[in-house]
Amino acid sequence: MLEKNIEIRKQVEALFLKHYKEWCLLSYSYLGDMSASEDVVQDACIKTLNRKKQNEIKDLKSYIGVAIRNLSLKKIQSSKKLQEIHEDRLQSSGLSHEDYLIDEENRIRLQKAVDVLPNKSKKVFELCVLEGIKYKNTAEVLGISINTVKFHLKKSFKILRLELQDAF
Amino acid sequence: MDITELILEKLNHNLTNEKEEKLKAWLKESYTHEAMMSRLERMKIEGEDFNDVRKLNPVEAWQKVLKKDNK
Repeated sequence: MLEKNIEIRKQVEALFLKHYKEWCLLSYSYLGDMSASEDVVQDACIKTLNRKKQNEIKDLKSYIGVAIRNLSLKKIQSSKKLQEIHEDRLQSSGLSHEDYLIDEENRIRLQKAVDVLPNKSKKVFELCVLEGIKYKNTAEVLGISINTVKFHLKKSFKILRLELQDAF
Repeated sequence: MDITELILEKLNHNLTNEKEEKLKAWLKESYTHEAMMSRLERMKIEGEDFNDVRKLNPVEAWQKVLKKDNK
């Protein structure tokens, strides 16, 4: 079994080195993005290397080709879904596209600032402020007292005020 | 000569007759190849130059595969 795995790994490597550009071009013909296409090809090969029933693969090259095609199509579908969600949000918010971009920029700026908070304070801030969970429930979830929740929130706001002082 | 180079030369209209035959043989191998070629030809018409393909490095990419696989 182990020998078989080593053999398949060698075969995948040989095919990869020989057909990498061709496979990237195949994915690129769907995605139009070379970096995403490289990821797809690499992921398809990893998927092949980790497939449990490797002995069922009759033609390795064709198998990888189909995997690349499927992963490329999957990528297109998920980006379409994201686009739909983006458009839905835009419509329901009543914002213009420009407003939406500014809003999005502020959201990213806030997220970056939240990311620099100490771990515990970050969790408290995310639960209480971003998700709107009550102090009491946050305390229960994190196994801390309500006073500790309040302490972390105070600390978070202090740090965020400094981080975002030039932002708004 | 690898097939990618033949495809790129075909898309850039500088394929010799001998190479053209090799490409035709590859296209006939499967419908997937033909479909891929036709998508690429359409992209070429829309202004795609495919220059990034020549810069790809399979050896470096394989190292990435091994690295990702070990994670």
